[in-house]
Amino acid sequence: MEKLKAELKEMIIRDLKLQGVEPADINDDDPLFEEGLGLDSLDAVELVVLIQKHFDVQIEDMDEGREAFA
Amino acid sequence: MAVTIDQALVLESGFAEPERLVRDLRRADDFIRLAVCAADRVLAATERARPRRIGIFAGTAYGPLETNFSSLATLIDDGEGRISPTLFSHSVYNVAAGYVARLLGIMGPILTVTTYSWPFLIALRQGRQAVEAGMIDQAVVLAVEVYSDLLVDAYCRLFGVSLAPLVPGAAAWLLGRDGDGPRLLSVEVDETPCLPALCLTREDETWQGHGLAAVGERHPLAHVEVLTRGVNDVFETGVEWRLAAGFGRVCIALG
Amino acid sequence: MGDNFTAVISGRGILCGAGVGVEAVWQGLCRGRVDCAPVPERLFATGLKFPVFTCPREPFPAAADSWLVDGELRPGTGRTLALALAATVQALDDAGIEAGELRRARLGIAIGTTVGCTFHDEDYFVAWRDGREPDLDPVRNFLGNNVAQGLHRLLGTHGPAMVITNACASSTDAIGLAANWIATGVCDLAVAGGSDELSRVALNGFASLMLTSDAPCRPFDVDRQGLNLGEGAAVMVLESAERLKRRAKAAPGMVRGYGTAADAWHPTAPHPEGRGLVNAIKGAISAAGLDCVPALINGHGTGTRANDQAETHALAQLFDPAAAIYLVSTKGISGHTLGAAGGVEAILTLEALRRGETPGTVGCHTPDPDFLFSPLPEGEKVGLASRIGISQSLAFGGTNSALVLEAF
Repeated sequence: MEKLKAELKEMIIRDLKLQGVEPADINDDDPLFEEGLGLDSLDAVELVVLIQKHFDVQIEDMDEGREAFA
Repeated sequence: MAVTIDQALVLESGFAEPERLVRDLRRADDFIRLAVCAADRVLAATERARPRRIGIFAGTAYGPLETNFSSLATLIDDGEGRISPTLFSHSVYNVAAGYVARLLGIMGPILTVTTYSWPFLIALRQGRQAVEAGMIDQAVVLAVEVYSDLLVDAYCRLFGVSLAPLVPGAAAWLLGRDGDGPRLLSVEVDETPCLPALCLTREDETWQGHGLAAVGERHPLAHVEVLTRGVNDVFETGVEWRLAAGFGRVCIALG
Repeated sequence: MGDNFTAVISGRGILCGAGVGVEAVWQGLCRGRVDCAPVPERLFATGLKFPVFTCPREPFPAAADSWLVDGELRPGTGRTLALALAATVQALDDAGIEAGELRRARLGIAIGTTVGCTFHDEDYFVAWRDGREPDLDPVRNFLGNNVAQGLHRLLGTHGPAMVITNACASSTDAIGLAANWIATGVCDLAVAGGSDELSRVALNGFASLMLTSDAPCRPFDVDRQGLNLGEGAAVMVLESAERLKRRAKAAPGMVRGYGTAADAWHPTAPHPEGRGLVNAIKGAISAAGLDCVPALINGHGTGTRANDQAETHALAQLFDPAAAIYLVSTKGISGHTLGAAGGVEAILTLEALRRGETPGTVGCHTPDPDFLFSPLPEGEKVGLASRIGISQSLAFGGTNSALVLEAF
């Protein structure tokens, strides 16, 4: 689980091209959007595609997606 | 009222982005960066009109072609349903003008035109018309090209050359009402095919500076660079610029 | 613009998933005919099953070949250009203009597109990336398919050519800017509108953005799930009132005003309160110098959560929700035709104004109660109190554009 968390954090920083953020800066329960990491709706859908690609899972519905990310 | 060219500059790739824009440009490709930085510079030196009174008029021949291919690559490599939404949305041609509006706080008209024939001058004509009609007080007119490796390769094979004259870059002109710069009296485009030529004329004199020869090449930014240099270095009242290429003539009158 | 702004609409041409020609598309709208299905094999192979709206296999009829200066359409003519050509000759026929007259005039061509100017030849791209030297025809076709220049070349005409690539607002802008050309004498006649074919990249792109619906779209409905893509083209012939008078021709209407404004907000999402759209509509109304309120607003109404919310929010800031101003979306019968959408919708707006009535929004059964401005739902049909309407578009990049149209 720790390994998965670390992989996720690295993927978020690398593939969403976050500037000046290190994996250690992200707490496990930090919100991703707005006041948290400052991600927006375009990052949200990019993240869905990234997770599908890297972890070979399907996320079908954005409302479901939003809840999973909230 | 006169429409004036208050600033004009050319930006080549390898420029430094202003620190304050770095965070907002995290997803941006070179097509966007060139446009944003050129517009930022051209606006910096002049007093700005209100956000709704400034417009953006961008002309491009090839648009964000490299991102178009990056986006296509994610579709081909990762499979259907997995194209990158960021790359896809950043491969739309008006993405650069949209970024300029957002990052520089411009809320007037934003227009992107795509053509192989004088993209910058078609945008210039529209920007001039909008200022003259009183729709806006300032127009940021942009030319942006980034090309792509695929295009460079195709160019070389099409024309049998080893080096394509396709150098990425951008140019920005700021048009204003009754500003300090030269008056832009008219931009007339005649699309009748003709032999390529370029000169600056004043009364009956004709002047051809070095660098003008570059226009004969198939490089959509070459004429913009020459004209920008003309605005900044060799401006005199009563000058007419005449450009001609295989696809038509343009006459730009300054006063 | 104001009082001197006289760009008369003398002809209209349209093809989209709802049919070919103004009459067919209008009848489809009145009957609420929804003819969409997963992408047919003849367009491209895809595993995505989202329904789309399509045009005939050969959009340009051989019977119209006499319009072409070369007598026939060359192989390698892109589908977006062929769609645009089909809509253009329809509009010219409707305007009663013949090829000879057209070639003598200074003709402005302003066409909006999104897909029509990109290079999407996957075979070429893959071969090139693998280090091979694929045949250059796809590149030649890419360079030869600029829609506005292509139309001039195919029709043998001359004059200003402009392809507007303002994403989904492109053809609204094309019509507005061409109307300005007519008003300021840049050209005698103008052909203005938009065209877009479907592409595998665009379908996947909208799917990845999670904006596509699995079922026929439901613009403005409380249960809307996204948009359906469609292909299509729509073109208007514009000219001055004087010119039209000289050739003693009746016209269906005119472009009264055009406004456009940036959101300055986000690359893909509209400003939640429709900031730029409010400014665009204000600009169009001020250009039109309207002395009466519009009776009809043909919204962008894609059926996505964000668009429909932003759009109705904007309208509530401008118009009294209790007034007899009807908001509809026509995307339920055409899908979202991207670069052609503004043209398709301007033509349908004018047709409704001309007939003095509008059917409700196909696909909208229960208007979202959160909206501050309510749409006219499917199944209703109302008379219009004036002959003035607005057709509006919102786009990626934060472009918002609006046309004020008047039927004669």
